[in-house]
Amino acid sequence: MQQVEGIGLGLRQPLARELFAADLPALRWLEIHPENYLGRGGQYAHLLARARERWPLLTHGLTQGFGSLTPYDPGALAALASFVRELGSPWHSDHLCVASVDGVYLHDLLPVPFTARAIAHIVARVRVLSDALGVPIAVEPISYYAMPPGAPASYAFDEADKLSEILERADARLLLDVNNVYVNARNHGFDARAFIDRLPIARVVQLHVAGHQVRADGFRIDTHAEPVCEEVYALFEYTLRKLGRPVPVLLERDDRFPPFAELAAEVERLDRIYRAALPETHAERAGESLGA
Amino acid sequence: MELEEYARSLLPLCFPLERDAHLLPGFELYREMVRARLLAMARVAFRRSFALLGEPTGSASFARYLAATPPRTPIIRELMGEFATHLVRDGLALAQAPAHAADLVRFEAAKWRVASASESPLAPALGEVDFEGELMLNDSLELLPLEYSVAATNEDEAGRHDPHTLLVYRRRGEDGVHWYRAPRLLAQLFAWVRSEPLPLPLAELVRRLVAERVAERVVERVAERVVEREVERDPPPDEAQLLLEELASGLTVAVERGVVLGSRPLPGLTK
Repeated sequence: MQQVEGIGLGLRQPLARELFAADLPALRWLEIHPENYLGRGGQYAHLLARARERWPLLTHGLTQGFGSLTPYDPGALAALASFVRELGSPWHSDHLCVASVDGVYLHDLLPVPFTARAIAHIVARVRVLSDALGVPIAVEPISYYAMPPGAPASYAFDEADKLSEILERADARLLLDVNNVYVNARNHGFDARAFIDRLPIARVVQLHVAGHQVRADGFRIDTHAEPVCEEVYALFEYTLRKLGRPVPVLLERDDRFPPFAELAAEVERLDRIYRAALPETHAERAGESLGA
Repeated sequence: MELEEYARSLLPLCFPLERDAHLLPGFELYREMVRARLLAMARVAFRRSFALLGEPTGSASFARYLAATPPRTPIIRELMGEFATHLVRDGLALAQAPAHAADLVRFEAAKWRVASASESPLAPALGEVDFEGELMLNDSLELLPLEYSVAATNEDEAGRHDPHTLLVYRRRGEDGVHWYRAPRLLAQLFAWVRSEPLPLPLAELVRRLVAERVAERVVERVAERVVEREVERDPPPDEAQLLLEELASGLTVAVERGVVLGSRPLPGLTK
């Protein structure tokens, strides 16, 4: 299995020219959204081909949503399986959310209730996807702005606890988005570190770090369109030290792109935190560069 | 609330025409975010159309589209084709619009689709155009019949009534979207290549096309002369020569531009 670790970026068309021209040793891999590349020619096919030559790639889906009520399309699954296999992604990830209902796609990620029936449904969908793709699935809990009706006041920690059950029953991995945790914690009034402490950390295979928008009323929106804030950097370091092992870490920037130098600076800052938190990884990499 | 009931309550939330009494409290933000995301893409895909119709009209039409046909594809860029189909039929949006608005929508939709169109692998590489083989057209090619010159960059020119067929395509291996007007004969030929249920030799299609055109001109001239009571008239132009020139130059240009990729042998036949 391909070893992917360290800091990565999403392959986004507005960044592409500067990305391929940059000398950025801290950048170790790229994330690909299959929905943006499958069945698509022209510049997107070219971008993907060039990216494959230079970096390991991890696939991250946007539309399957493990709480969704739309049956998987066999043809679409086969195409996705072929795509994931061709890129050599060691796992595929998608979200713990409702993304579609009876064939209607919401084009957003909405929270799920954690009832026993819902959990059974989620587990089944994860398993079907894993079987179809032939690689493990990493499940990403989302940022949410409201809770499903009837959800307990302890919805957040309910999610953390139920996540363990879901991942165990589905034999799945965890993609932990640190910014999602922070946004949820600030919006819904719980302690972010306490939430992370309750997660099945042993199942984490990947981290996301991103920026968010702070509205005038203090409510936070997970936009992926702002720089990472200091609190999220701190939460990232906390998570990494708790994890204690190398993982791929995505700097997730999807909109309002800054000059590439600013993005590169964020990548490098994340890399410094990463190497400080995981000194053994740094020593191994130094050994690699010396040809040891 | 169980997952099924909750999830189905999200649909009228996300795609209503107006705020609904049974909106899930607290979920209004999702409605705004879903609409904003999709509308932002529509504004990019239909930049000139939105400018022509006006932003409020374009946005209102988009809201009607979402309410009437919520997205049935997980591929967000494919929604733009669905929206275009809705917009050209949206009487409310077009009632006060210039006559060429619908054509402009169709043109921008075609460019959007062509920009992302997939390219099928060709193995082995196609050879020269062979009239005994099947003519192979660029995968991305769209044949766009239009009433108005909407491909003109000058908006005054765009409103000129000028029926024609536009070829919109992307050269294999490249990124840019191109377009040009197809001679009538070529547009007909390409339409037949695309629509025939079984591959036919190019020669067969050309023979059919020429026969149809000549017959059409014969009928026109006979009708003219009968109406004018003309017993004699100067010899007509050599229709075959005209057709030859139009088709030969049209096909040559199409090859040079990458609209025609070459030919492949028909199944069961070898050279």
